[in-house]
Amino acid sequence: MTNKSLSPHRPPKLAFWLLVRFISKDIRYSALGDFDEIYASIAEHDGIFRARLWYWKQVAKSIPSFITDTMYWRFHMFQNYLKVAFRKMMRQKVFSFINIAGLAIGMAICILIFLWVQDELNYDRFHDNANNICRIVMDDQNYGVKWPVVSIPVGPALKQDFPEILDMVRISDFRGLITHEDKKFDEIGAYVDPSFLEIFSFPLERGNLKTALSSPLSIVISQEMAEKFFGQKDPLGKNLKLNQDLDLTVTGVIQNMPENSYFDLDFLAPFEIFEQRDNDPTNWGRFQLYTYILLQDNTSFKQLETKIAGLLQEHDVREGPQLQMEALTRIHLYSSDGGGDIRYIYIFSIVAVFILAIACINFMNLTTARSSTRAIEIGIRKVTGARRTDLVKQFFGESILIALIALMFAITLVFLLLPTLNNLANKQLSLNPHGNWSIIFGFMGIVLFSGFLAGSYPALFLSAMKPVNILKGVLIPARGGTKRALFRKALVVSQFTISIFLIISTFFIFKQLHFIRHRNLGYQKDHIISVSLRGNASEQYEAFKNELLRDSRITHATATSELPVMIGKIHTGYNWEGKDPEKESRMTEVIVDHEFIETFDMTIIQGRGFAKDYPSDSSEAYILNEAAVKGMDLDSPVGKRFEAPIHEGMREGTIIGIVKDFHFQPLHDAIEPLVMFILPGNFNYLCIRVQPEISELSGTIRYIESVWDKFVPNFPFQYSFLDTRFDRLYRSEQKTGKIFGYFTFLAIFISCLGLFGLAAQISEQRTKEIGIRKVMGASVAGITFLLTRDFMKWIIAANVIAWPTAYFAMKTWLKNYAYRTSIGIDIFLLAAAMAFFIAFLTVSFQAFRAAVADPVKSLRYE
Amino acid sequence: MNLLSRSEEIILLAIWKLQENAYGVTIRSLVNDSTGYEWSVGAIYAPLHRLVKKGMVRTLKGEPIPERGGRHKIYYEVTLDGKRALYQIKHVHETIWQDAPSLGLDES
Repeated sequence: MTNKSLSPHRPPKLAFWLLVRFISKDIRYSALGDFDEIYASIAEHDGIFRARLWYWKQVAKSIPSFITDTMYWRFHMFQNYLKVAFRKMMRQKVFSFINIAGLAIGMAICILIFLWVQDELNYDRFHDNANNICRIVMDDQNYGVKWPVVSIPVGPALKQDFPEILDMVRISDFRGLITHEDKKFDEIGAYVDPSFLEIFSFPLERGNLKTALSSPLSIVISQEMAEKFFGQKDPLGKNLKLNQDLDLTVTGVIQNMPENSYFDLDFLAPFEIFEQRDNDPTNWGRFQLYTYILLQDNTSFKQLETKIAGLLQEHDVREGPQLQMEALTRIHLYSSDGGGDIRYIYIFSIVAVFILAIACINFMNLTTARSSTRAIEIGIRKVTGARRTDLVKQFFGESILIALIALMFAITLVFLLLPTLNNLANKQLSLNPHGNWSIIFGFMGIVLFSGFLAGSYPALFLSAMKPVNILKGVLIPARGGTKRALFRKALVVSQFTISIFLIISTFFIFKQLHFIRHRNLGYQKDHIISVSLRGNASEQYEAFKNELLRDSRITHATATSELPVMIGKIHTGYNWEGKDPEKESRMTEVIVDHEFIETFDMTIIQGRGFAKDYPSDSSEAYILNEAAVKGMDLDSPVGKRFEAPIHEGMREGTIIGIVKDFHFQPLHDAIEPLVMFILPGNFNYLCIRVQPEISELSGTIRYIESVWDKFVPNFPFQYSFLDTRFDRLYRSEQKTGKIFGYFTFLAIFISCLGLFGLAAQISEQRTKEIGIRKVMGASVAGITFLLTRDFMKWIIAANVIAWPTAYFAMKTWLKNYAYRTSIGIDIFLLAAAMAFFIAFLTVSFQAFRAAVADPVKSLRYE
Repeated sequence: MNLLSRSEEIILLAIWKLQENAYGVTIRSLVNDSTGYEWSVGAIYAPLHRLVKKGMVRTLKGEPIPERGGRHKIYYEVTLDGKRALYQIKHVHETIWQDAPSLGLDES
């Protein structure tokens, strides 16, 4: 074609494009030429405008006739394809059921996981400024501490020094007792700068965005809280008392903070209150609150981060802590305090794809296995003029149709399963396509993906069969036959590999969980009730404790700064006799009272515990754990001098005992050095050990409550059990374990569906062989064995692949834990045995049915 | 006997009449002129394509020209089958018209 000598008059591009779409292929070339030619001649005689008008008119006029001409036949063929597809489905009810049920379950799981992942990824993306908000993180590599907490002056300094930072907000969250007239509730809230409402998008229902938090005695509350306190009445201008001593006026009501936000606050109080109460608000080195900054559009994170890194040192903070930034939208999944975990997102997405793949493999396998029944249809179609592309289209169409039917069932399943998942994952997911386009695209994606994957083998291989061979009766050519059988085997093997892998993983997750829950923690966590000391309870705790101990159901009581399930306060600056001055002295610290060690039944391995007999214990005694002693390089630590930094300066004393290591942190981490000492006035909890009789429990709690009300009437009585708190540490593992368990079950179920279908198919193909064998005297057991043997070989192959894969995956997973269960062969053997057993049940059912069939029936029609 | 549709008949005849110069544009203008109303390009090509499929017309590739956007002209030529069909139609018409009384219209 000579493109150089084109006419100066070219038809309108859009009209041309439309025409190309609609003209049938056969005449496209010459018709388009004609259009161009006539267009050019009109343009020459009557002008461009007329020519264009004419061209568009022609397009409009031509389209209908072209469409009817071409679509008519397509429609007829489509009708035929549909009819054939439905007939096949009706005739082979079992196979259709297996295909559709398997796919539906697989899809349902995919949709559920998709919803969950979508929810996890959307945390805090609803803010208008979501992409420009960052949290300031303090990273101290000297001590290996990284925590999103900075000191009071950091925020304002950042805003002042860096033009890229438009605004900042400091947040200090706390639990406060709120009272209004006779109503009294504990609520979680925060002291925030007034800019909070402008940086984040928590819309105000009532009140003024600009002024809501500007007065130092104002409070903004959530809708939920407004309803709790004021019912239907207008909350604006009403008074609320915070922690018994501060009268605040409600100046705004915000919508409840959504589920998919890192924040979950019920009220906001002005930051000024916090700042005024702090005894040293200009101290740069006391890290105590969260600071968020709002960046200008298109600010380079990396550049700004290097600029702010050394800010603390400019203000005379010791070398070490550096400032970093963390994007708001990453907090949930990437941060240790975010609550989510990006690894679970990956793991579950992979599992979803696995399960869908297993379901698609069923479809591929069964269709291939049944290819002989379709061979004649393919032959006839080819002979009557079907091209290969037509057949490919037909098969893909068929599998997409089945995928669509499966989707309908899948959606029903999702509706049934969503409440369970919401319960398990503690979320409010819903399958509401309204405004959620990605769900609809997700559906289409899943249908197309599974349709294409499932239909690919039949579409590409069956359509390539030679009609001559088919019609001659050579249904499956010898070489292609073995290849096809091999392919089928490979598919079954991969299905079972995935299933076995999942079985092993589930077992290990449960084994590790069991290990954690039953490991000797080094202290007693059962039958212990913990009560937060609030109001003036901390000062009166001694009297409070004695009152409690008067009841015989209460055996021990102790006050402590932190609960032994999770002690997290790491301090530095300790000193001891014979300390290497170069050495770091980093220790976890817990402040206890005399009865701590007895209450938790800890073991003293050297020296003695705290005792009232030694009056100096409450002012100058220390107890260390084994890990601390090891870190200090002391041969006989008991009796050595020890100093700990406290508020008033260094507290001098001696080491009186060594406690056996106990797990005061989740078992992910190794036991760290710990120091305990008595320092009245620093207690946060009272731990009460009660008699183990369950029947007495509610009475005991009522008794504790009555004592509480006598001592601390202003605050509601709240308690928790130590073992539930302990379990809560491993809640995410437990959830994962459970969800994994469900998925594994479903994966095995789908695999078995496929195996069942395949076994049925193969025993049907070998009907005559079985008949002859029986006539010749084969036993039922022999034939069952014959049919089952093959499948068992595949399961062995699947085990061979799954074992090492699972071994490495589990080894990696267990690395998260400092204390882990052993990877023994037992679980692998158990998983293999399970796979064998399940596969054997599935296959032998079919095999047995074939074996007991009357040979007369199978041989009669010859 | 293989009867043609009216539009096929008209187009086949037009191609025969145009002889060497029968391609889309000329066929259409001849048909437009003789029937007195405007045929859309689609209306020409659907029957034209059927004629090709029936083997009554065959296509020849001409020179590429700029007015056609650099495409070749596709010329149409009546095949022997086509000629037979035309002859048959003509014959049928003439046989039936023979001795038919005048329609009494003003034939101009």
